[in-house]
Amino acid sequence: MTDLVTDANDSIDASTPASTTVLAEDVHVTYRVYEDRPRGLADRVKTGELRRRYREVEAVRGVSFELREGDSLGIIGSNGSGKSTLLSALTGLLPLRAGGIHVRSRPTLLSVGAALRLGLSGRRNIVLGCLAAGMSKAEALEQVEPIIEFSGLSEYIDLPMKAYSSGMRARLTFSIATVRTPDILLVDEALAVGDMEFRERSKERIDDIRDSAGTVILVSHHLSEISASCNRAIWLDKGVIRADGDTDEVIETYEWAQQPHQRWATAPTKPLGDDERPATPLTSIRLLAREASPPILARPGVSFDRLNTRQAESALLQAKTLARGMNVVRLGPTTFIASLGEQEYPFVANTAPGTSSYADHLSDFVERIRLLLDRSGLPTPRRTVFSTREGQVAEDFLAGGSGPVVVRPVVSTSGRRVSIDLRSIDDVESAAQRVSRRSGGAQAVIEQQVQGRDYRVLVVDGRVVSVVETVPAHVRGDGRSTLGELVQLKNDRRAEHPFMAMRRVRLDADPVLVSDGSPVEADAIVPVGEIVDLGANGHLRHGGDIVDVTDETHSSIHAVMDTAAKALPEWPITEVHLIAEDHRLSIHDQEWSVLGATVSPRLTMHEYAGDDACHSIADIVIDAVAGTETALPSKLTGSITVDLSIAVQPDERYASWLAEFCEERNVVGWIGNAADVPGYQGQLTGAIMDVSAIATRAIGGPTGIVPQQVELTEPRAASSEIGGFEVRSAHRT
Amino acid sequence: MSKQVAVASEHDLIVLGTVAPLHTYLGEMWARRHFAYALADGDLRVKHMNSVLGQMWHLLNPALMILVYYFIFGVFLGARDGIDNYVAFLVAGVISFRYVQAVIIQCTRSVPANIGLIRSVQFPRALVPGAVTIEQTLALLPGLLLVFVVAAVDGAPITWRILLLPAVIGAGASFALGLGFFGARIGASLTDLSQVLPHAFRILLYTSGVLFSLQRSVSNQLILTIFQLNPFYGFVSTVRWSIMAQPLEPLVVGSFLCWALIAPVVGLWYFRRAEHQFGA
Repeated sequence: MTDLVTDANDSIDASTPASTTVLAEDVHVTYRVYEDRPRGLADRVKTGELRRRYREVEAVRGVSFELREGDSLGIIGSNGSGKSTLLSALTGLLPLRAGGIHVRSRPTLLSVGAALRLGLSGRRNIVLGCLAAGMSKAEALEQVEPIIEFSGLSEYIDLPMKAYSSGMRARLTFSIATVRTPDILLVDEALAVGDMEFRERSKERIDDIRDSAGTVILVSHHLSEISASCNRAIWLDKGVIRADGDTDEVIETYEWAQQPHQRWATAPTKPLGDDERPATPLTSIRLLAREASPPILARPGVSFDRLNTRQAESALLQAKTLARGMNVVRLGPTTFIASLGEQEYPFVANTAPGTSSYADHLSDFVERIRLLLDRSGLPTPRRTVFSTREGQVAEDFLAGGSGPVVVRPVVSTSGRRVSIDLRSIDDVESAAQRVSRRSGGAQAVIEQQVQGRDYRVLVVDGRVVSVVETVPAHVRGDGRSTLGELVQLKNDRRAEHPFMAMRRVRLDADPVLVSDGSPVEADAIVPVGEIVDLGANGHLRHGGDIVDVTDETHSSIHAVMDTAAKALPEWPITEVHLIAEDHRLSIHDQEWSVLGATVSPRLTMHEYAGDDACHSIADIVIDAVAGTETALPSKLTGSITVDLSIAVQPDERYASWLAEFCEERNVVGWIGNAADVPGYQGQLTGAIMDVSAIATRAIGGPTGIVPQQVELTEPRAASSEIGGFEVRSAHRT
Repeated sequence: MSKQVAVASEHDLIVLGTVAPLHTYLGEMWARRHFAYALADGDLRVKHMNSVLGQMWHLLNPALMILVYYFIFGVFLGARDGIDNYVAFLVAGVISFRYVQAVIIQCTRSVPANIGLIRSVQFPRALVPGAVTIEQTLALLPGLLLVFVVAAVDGAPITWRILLLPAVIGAGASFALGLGFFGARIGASLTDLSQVLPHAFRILLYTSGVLFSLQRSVSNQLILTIFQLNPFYGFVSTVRWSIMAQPLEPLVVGSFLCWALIAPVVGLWYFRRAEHQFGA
């Protein structure tokens, strides 16, 4: 060991900018933990194991990263995640089991516990620390005063350090360790203590280190500290890197993943009262089965493959599916559609080492549900699936009927990328392109457009409990404001209303806006009194108004829907989408059609444990696609997500249904938020209601949540890429 | 060439967890000698900081113990019979024996005792047993003063040999540190050792001629030779030779000097092999 600090300084001058300072590759650290209970000698002789029994704890398992000059890395993770072990390994103090750590110079470690000599005065500790760092006696004595000054402890400097508070100790050790700008500084929870002013000063020192081409690695539970000081972060979980990248992004991912645990921990012991109700209404909840571990989920904005190795496993699933002669349409790293002939089966597959899961998007599986509705004798619109690359099928479809058609994605996207009122093959083709741009898929659905008013029928336990009419969103011109401003105004008003907060109107970027057949741009001024209908996405849920018409609904509609609901006992229908002329008339006296239904659970997670879980899931899914539905396993564990975004106000009957559902499935608690549905952020399904109230009532007892703050992204107006609206028509009243 | 090796060599990185070559290691140790001294000095201060008599205990403790030994072994068991200046004999023996004992036992505890330091600062770990040796040598000084006083009062002959005392103590320190290296490495993972050692030293106390003369107690020549080869006996005898001109067989001093030369070399070799495991 030569004087490495000097060496390092030399090499800074010689090296090119941003050269590597720390390189960790596949670092493994294993602890031996000895059995607590000592065994008697007789027992040892008898079993032939003379040594004490021990267990190997793999504290760090294959961590790799590379840091460059000026980098500051934050390591976050829960207790026991291996953060501090990794830090110790980086000092070279811990033997590695495998892998290697290369550094430009020996790192300096700062940690709270490691005050030098508690019995000695602060002053003596300063000298000791400087000498330990390799200074000569004269240099060490020279540094005493500057260190005292920086630490701000001059009053106490001649007291033994054991009289210091932990904050004072940390200040002194930090001051000692950083008096000579270290090349590589490792900080273990040291900065959290101390007052604001000292924290500010230590942050400056860390910045100094970075400025002088040094590198800082910070381990802390205080995410704000990491966020303030680091330009990169690693989330360590059970010794493995779960996320690595931009600090705020990693912290967000980490915090998000912590939510389930936190919620369990902080769950109130009684259902939430009215005034405790979360300010942000929820639209979906995730029910946790008793034995299930909190599901690993991706968060919007963070790709799945960042989190673990799922992508590779998902690729395996896709490969297996392809090998069985099925088509695979890849929607994302872990989401894809497998199809065989007309059967299509979208699914999400997640696998982590030792456990895997896949989810049936039952409600997204629109085609299958419609087929079942059709079979139960309900009128459904004529439709077909076609390839967006080959327009022949669509052309035949157009030729085979009269009236406008609708084009939408195969997988439901809550109205996004749905185009209606298409009359020519050119329209259909451009609509198909919108679909494929969104999903990357090569397939779309073309469907006969049904004229009529839009109704949602809530079904609980096979019975109709309420009916609502959805009215398309619209704005009324005032002669001064542009269309965009009017929409903004409407949204602003809705933001103030608790139930309307998320039902914002969004304008699509790509469609030509039409008013009286002529284009209307978002920045065009709408004449006084002119009503511009927004919506027209085939679902009419975004931004529309909802009118409860249950009491006025003709009993024949109830009766027909009851039949429909009972026709699908396997998949409990929670909502039927009905198009009719008038809810007050008998269903037999009018044109009507069923567009689709929502089933619950919307998404069923199937989780498997074991190494070949991925393979068994692949087989199950493939069998399911091939139509062998009996292959669906009965022994399922895991979490179940129930979509409660139904178009009605909270309903007691719905709550009791949910309670039964939970009991059947051995569900003990729930967490939930619409924000955990990728792509849903700020774009929440129209029918907003206080799901948390329903769920709390349904499950009762020690459940409930402290909901996470939902940040609604502002409608991105004209630049929106997932907006749900186009202007369908405009008329004067 | 793997990726890491390529990047590492490109940027001139060093590999953590490798032990520096011996000469570099010794150079580092020398460069930080002041650190070892400051550590020893600090620990010495801390130990008796809160007691009323303070540093006086370094003197009082052995004095009281010697008083006990004097009455039990010297008076009741008759060990003083036939030994000139038995008091000086006893004091020199106990003080010097306790010195090596303290070095070795403290070394054995040194790694766990300094774990905070080891975990937070990079320095050659051999400085930890080294600091213990310095600390105990400093603590020995008042004890030696006691020996001189007693020897003078007791009328023991003071000769030119006393000038060699620093060298004798140095050899004793070297021998003790050598064993201390073994103790430190084993004691780092096996804390039981520091529990067992006091008992081992009790046996050594009785077999190293500290309290009574070996020649007078052992009649069998073979057993006597074996006892004389014992380096603890060698150190105690050499100290007595230096201070009070006790006769010294070449075999005894030869064995002791061999130990004093070989023990630290082998000890450091053994200790350094675990250099990077301390602190785990």
